[in-house]
Amino acid sequence: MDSPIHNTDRRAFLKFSGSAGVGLAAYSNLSTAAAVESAGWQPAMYRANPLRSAASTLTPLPPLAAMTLNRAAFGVAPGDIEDFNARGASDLARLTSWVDEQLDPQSIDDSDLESRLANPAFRTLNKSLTQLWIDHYRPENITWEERVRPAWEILYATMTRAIYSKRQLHEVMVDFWHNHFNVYAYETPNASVWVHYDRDVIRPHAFGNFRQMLEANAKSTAMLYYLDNVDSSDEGPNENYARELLELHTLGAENYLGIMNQWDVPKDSQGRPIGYVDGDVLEVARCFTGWTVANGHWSDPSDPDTGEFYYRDFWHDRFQKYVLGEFIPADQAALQDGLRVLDKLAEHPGTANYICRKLIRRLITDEPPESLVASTAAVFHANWQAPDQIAQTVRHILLSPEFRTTWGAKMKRPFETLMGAMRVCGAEITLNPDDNDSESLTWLMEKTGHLPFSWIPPNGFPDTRTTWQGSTPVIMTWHIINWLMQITDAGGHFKLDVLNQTLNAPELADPANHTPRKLAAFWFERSLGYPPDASQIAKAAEMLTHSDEYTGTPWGLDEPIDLSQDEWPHYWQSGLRTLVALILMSPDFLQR
Amino acid sequence: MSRMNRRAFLKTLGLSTAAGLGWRNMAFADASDTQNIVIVIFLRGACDFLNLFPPVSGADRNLYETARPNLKIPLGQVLPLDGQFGAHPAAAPLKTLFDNNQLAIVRAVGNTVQPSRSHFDAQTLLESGTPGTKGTSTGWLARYFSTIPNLPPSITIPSVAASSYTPTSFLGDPSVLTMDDPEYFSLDNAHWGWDERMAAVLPTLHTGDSPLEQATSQAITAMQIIGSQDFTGYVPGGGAVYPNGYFGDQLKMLAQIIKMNVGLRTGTLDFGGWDTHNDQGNGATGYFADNLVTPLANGLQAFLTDLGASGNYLHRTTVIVQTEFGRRVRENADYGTDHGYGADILISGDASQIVGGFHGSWPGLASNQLFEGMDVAVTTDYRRVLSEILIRRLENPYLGAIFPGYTGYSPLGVVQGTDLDPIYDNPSDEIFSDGFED
Repeated sequence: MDSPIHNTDRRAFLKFSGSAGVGLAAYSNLSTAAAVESAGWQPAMYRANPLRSAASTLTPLPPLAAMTLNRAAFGVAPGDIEDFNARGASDLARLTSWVDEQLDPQSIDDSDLESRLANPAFRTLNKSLTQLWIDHYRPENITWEERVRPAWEILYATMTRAIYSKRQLHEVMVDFWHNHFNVYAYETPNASVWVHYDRDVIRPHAFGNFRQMLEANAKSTAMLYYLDNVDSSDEGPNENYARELLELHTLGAENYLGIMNQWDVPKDSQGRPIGYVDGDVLEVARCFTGWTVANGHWSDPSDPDTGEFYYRDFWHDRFQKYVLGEFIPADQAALQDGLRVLDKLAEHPGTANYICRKLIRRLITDEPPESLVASTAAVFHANWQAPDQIAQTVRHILLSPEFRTTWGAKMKRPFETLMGAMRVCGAEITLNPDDNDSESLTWLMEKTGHLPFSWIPPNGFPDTRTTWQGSTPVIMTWHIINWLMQITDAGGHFKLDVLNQTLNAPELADPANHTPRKLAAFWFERSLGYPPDASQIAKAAEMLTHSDEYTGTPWGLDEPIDLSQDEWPHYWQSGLRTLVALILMSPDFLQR
Repeated sequence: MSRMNRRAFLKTLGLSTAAGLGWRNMAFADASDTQNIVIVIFLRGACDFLNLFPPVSGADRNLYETARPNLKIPLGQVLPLDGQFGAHPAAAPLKTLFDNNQLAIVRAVGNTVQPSRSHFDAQTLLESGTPGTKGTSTGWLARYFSTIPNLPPSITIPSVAASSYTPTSFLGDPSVLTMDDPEYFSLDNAHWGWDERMAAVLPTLHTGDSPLEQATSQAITAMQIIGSQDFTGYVPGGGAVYPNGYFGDQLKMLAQIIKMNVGLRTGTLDFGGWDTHNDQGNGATGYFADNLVTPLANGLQAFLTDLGASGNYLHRTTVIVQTEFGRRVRENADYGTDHGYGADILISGDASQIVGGFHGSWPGLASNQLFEGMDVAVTTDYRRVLSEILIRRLENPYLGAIFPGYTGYSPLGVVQGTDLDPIYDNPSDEIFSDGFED
């Protein structure tokens, strides 16, 4: 019998064995110009004889300013690098200064963002939960657009903040917690009360205390509906929320011991069960019976129908429970057994490990090093009752040696790529539900698979390169970059005005410097926060050597182009915009 | 030709239309029409198979009605199948397939190594093909592809994930093309005076050796391939009508790709929304009937009709429908069902290949027959069903590489085909490192 592995792939197959001893060949193909032009070449997803070598995991470290802004922020806006580099005499001093300022968001002036959010198109952002409920969910004769308006306003506010807020790390963490406590936003009643979920449940705790965030979440209208606890009663407990509370919000699947008796679970040195089993899920579900929403339930004449959290005592299972190694006696005071569960979960070292591993995955690498997980979890656990528990935890991660010595271990997802592209280009863009371009952007972003708040299952968007490197997210993100580069406002001005930014740059003030090579170098450095390899700059500059319409002698890489005109056959201004789009499609820009 | 016009595409390749090298007919070098194809439809969220194929007779019918006073499918509505089980009233096309010997239903299937009622755990364990280990970095379909003997030197599109994301089953296979909407899968929206130039230069920026660049260059290749094909104006064969919506669109796209003869061997399709914790409905209407069963049944029938209308496509294609686990036997108070254990796997295809009917061992619904007193038990390891497809339909006996640690395979007899001796050695085991390096 032939060997099961194709000859050329065997070495790679063995080399790339996975953690379970299950490996795969690392083949790939390459559409270089040379290959393209060879007779008979045709594109193919599979080639037995790969045209390039096996994947290298060594990516040179860029300057720390760029590493920080591309991971702890949504990319490099004009002036960011200079600001970072003015903060101290050493890398660590500069990073510490930046992190400490970011962890104190109220100290950062954000008036530019605030004036953008003051746009009258945002008309639900200041409504109370009950106002949202009464205005957008309860009425029967309103349009669907009005019903879901709060969700769309938060979507556009979220994008606006990612692009313009100076409190970038806060926005990164809000995004993290939205995914950690994922709720699908675009259905009712969640869409109608989405302002509350974002403003009152997630944002206030993004740098705060996990236990408090957990309780705000357990009592939130959106989560109560999304995971069905709104209907969970002693007569009919619904285990959906209880299961995800353990599996996704706190202990994590890594501490799920599967099908096992509760009393068989081993204990740690402090007497805590080391993980949870299905029996715990069912008992936790009983603890949360009666935690519901004041929605005017027919069975309850005293239900005020405000859309707020509501504890319906006669739905609560009052008998004794056994949760995570502890008996909770019958007839607890209102809410107490549920709150006890949240305490136990927030204090559990398993929760600290799981949350910290996710945070490191978000901020540094797809494969969090166990030593950093352990040291971070120690900070998280020791401070589990501290009001700034999460800030201390994030600080530990960002100031770790691993943060400064790891690069390229992640890929920007579509949202980060696109918000970053707008930051890089100094976009002047107004995003809100009444704007046509905003609607187009949303519609296109859905095709990337990464429109905020649109992940339907409760585990949140995936956070690893292997999920996002497929052709759909990559190509659709680039498709949107092309689109962004061409949209104009009512006066015909480009919303990403790369031409004027080019002309206004001091180093490009002399038109003699408008060569393809210098233009490419300038926009690469703007995009990444550092200059890439010279050969990469030259490859991008090659694009400007001729438009599709120009058939004369190719323009030289060091020959100035005329940025004052956009006429046949050169279309130089459009060429510059296309060059910037191309640079934003480079692998360098996708690295995190 | 679709919006990425052929002229632009040929220019991208440095070819002129006049001197085209075989592109005019958009035929690819590996226009292979003999390889077998497997399509895996994953019902994300855990399908309630007990209501899709409810018991209609015997003690189990009474137990079913007792456990599901509100959700039971009334006997008068169940479509008859074999006397023991029937089909949900919205699943008439599945009954047709069943009666035509085009549908095999294996009951009470699941993960026998590490049962889990977590969606995400259970999906990962099944799709990795290592049901006891979550940390596996590659998926079972990826390892299937890497063990296919005698592959040609190049294949245009060997594998498609009809999705925005790469599913776990394909992880580790760089040749997978993920795509859910070919119409926008292009960069021809750059400025019209520069779009061809951009298309020509973009690949040159992605020639590095990092894992990211290997992936992005594959994405560019995918775009070049898809851009050369016309996805608009497709007319399904045999008068097939795909259901409206995402699932129907993805199935139709897979059928198109199969008929393009681009070397397809595997395709995956995610169908979400099966996590029916509340208000799932109890008969011919409701969420389960309207949003899930109807498109599943109509889609599967349309896909088989479309492929069967011409050529040998249907003869070469096997469809697997699976989910992460079944749902709780007893309904909950919210007219829904919670997470369970034993589920079904459906195998569908050409009548000459499928051994239609119910398969596997039905464990029964009495409380002492249920898993933990709550859920349909598992009597068949899911790897046994998939292994039979691998061996009998795909002629790939390398079970040790595809399902490491799995032994003792014997066919259930759900499909026709030749039995090959399973090879349980795993080539990534150390013992293989000698002799395989040549």
